[in-house]
Amino acid sequence: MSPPTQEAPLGREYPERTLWVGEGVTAADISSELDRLHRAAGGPDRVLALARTLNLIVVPCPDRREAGVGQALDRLGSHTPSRTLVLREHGEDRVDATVLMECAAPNAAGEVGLCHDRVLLTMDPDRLDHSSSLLAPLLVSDLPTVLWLPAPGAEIPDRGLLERAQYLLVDSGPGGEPALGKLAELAAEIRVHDLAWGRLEYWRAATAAAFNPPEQRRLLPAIGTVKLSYEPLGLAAGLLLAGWISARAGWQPGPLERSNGTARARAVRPDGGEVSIELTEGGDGGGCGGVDALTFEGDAGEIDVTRGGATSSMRDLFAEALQPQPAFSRGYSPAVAAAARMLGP
Amino acid sequence: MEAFAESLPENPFVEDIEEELPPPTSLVIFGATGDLAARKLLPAVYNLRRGGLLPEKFDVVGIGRREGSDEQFRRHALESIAEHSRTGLEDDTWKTLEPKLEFLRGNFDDPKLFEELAERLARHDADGGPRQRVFYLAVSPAFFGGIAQSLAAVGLGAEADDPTRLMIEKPFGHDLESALALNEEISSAFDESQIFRIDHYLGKETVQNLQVMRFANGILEPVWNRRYVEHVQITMAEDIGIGRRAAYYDSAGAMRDVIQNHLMQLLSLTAMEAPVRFDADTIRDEKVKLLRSVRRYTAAEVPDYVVRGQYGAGWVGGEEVPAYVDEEGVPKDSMTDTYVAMRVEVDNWRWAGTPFYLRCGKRLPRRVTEIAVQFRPVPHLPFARSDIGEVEANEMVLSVQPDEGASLRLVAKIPGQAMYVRPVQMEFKYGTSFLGDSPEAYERLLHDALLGDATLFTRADEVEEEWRIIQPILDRWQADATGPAIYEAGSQGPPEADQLLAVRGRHWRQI
Repeated sequence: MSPPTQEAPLGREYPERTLWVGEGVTAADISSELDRLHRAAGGPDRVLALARTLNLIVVPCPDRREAGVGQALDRLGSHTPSRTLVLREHGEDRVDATVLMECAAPNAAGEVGLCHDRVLLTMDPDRLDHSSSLLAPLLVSDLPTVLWLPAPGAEIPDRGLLERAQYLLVDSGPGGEPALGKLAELAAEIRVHDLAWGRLEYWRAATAAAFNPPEQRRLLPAIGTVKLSYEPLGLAAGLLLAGWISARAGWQPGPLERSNGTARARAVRPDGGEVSIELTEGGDGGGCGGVDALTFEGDAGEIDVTRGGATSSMRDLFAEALQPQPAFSRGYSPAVAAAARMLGP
Repeated sequence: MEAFAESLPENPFVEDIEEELPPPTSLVIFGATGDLAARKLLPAVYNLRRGGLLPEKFDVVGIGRREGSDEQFRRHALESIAEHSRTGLEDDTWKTLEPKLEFLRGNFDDPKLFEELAERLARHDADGGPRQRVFYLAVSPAFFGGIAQSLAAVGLGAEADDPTRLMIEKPFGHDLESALALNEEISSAFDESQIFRIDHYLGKETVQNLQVMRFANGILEPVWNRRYVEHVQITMAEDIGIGRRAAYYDSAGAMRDVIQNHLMQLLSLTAMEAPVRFDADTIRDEKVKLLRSVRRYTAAEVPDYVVRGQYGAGWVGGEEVPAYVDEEGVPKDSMTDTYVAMRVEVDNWRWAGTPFYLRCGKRLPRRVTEIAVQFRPVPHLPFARSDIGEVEANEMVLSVQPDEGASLRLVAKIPGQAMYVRPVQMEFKYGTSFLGDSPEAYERLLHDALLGDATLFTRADEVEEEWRIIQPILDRWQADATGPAIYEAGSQGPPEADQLLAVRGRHWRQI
């Protein structure tokens, strides 16, 4: 085992980081190092409280995504201090661990500083397949546990992790459409918070508002075509929105057929009538959440749902998703299931 | 044979919506170039727009008495937003809002203004389909009745075809008689369901959270009554003086300015029974029931239950400040109350015998609004031979401003050999427990009004009951030559206020 390493300050939010690296370690070693690092960070002249609002487990992701994961974890900051457990794979027959204690020291006498920790666990594939048994003693009791898939299509190495977690965090867009089928399966067994879904909040509200006036609502049972224009790389967002519309309206969508830059799916309305759902790639920059226009057409009229007042600036959905019971998960499961049906097997 | 009504399908899309979008709207602001519009309303409109909470078909018609054009009004709005918006100014959002702003000049007592307004709104409808109309009266209360009746006269009141709402802001009358008259005047032009009376305190997160705390946490309700609560203190303290509001304030005073509305609302939300549903009328019915159970004091009882004060010279925030009577525009012999402390008795089964102490004042040491629920001490301490000494009772404090949040005081043992104890606080702060800024109260209230949700607005009967509680006090003061007790600016208020609590070891929480 290596001795603790004191790092230089890394910015205002986390002025102090303490690092410990161990090879061939057990969960008990890691627990005792976490305790020791916390005690060492504090002292008689300052109070440092351990702040944890959740357990965050990060499953292995492709190398190209690792930098993004690191940045996101740094950004979590003291807003969502967590017991963060990051899983990685290597070829050695052992578990290696890097334990990082991050502390925002008190600025003045009488203040209490906050600490939280991050543990990087690297192990061989066999152990990774049983990683929930390693993580169980490291999870803080009575806190929600979130399982983060940085790559939406990534394999969850151990099904036991799903049993440990209260919800799953993913981002299916941009370019995330191949993962929609897998997410539909996962959404059937665990609550899924998909950031792409959060970005579509405006479109869902605007669609609901468009059908609020009675004269518009009367058109709904006879809608024949839904046209949706999405931004480049925004097909997943377009599919999620189209899936939500289908699920809410009670339409049964079939698989997409692509021709001339438009993807079309035929859906069956509750009265047996047919709806054509058309998704077309639009221009760049004019949209919101990956979608830039939505139109409902029927024999009796047309309803345009425009971007309207929505702005391109989004609140921090990643941080919001890590709050207890984030609001934007409602309605996701049937929406992603319908989107997956449109994508086909 | 009776014809079947055409069945309208439900809107299936509303189920999954976190924030509903209002229908197409024309918002008309009377007093659009005034202070309230600049500081609160225009920034609120901008932030709603920025949050994607306004419909695509949305216009603002600003009405003012000064000369002005659309161009000038837009410039004024831009400057107001840049200065007062909680989220700053983002070019992208402003560009979508700017063309929606129009200006109409006119005098509020000129019928031509209202004819022109009706034509303007009809043109908007013709251009983009019918819109609901929301009239915000950011003007002196003296104009409320006249504007309401002029709107009705051109078909924009109770008889309007499209959904129409009238938003007005306190003061709702100067006394009970004028409040009744104002309600009658407005209700002759608009239906009560169309009238949205703003008490901006109700838009604050902590005030809304008060109901969630009480009615969504099972552990609180069993102890929220006379059996477990010793007393409650509701405080709204300000460190500022009256600024340039002498003309209004000297005729109003703290009782009318704060107790009659803000503190009575906080009292009713703290003490009311659980509503069976969270809808506007059910909640307001419960508030009215509570206000009706507040004891009315006779003239002879007033000095025993109510203390009024007026600030003298002193020091606040490191600055020397003048006495109230030396403020610009205040008569030297003014007897206006800048501080009120009162003991409120709620005569119902839940609260009989548990007093509520209400306190508000200007030029106090700091700005703080809070509701402090002091629980009864434990009936018996089993630490007879220890060093524990006196144990403070539990206390729950809901902080409305400046730091919105809640805390619960418990008692814990200090680690060590001896049995020493110390109060510890369990706290939650909105700023650290939830992400993002809380919306400004005006954003929430304006958005609710656009959606037609009156839950956070005050109904006519609430206003009248509030006046019925304080009118006997005002009458007694009117007849009393003694005048308010003078307290030093920057102090905790007049010492006479301490006497109100001086039983059973009660004392005011320090401001």
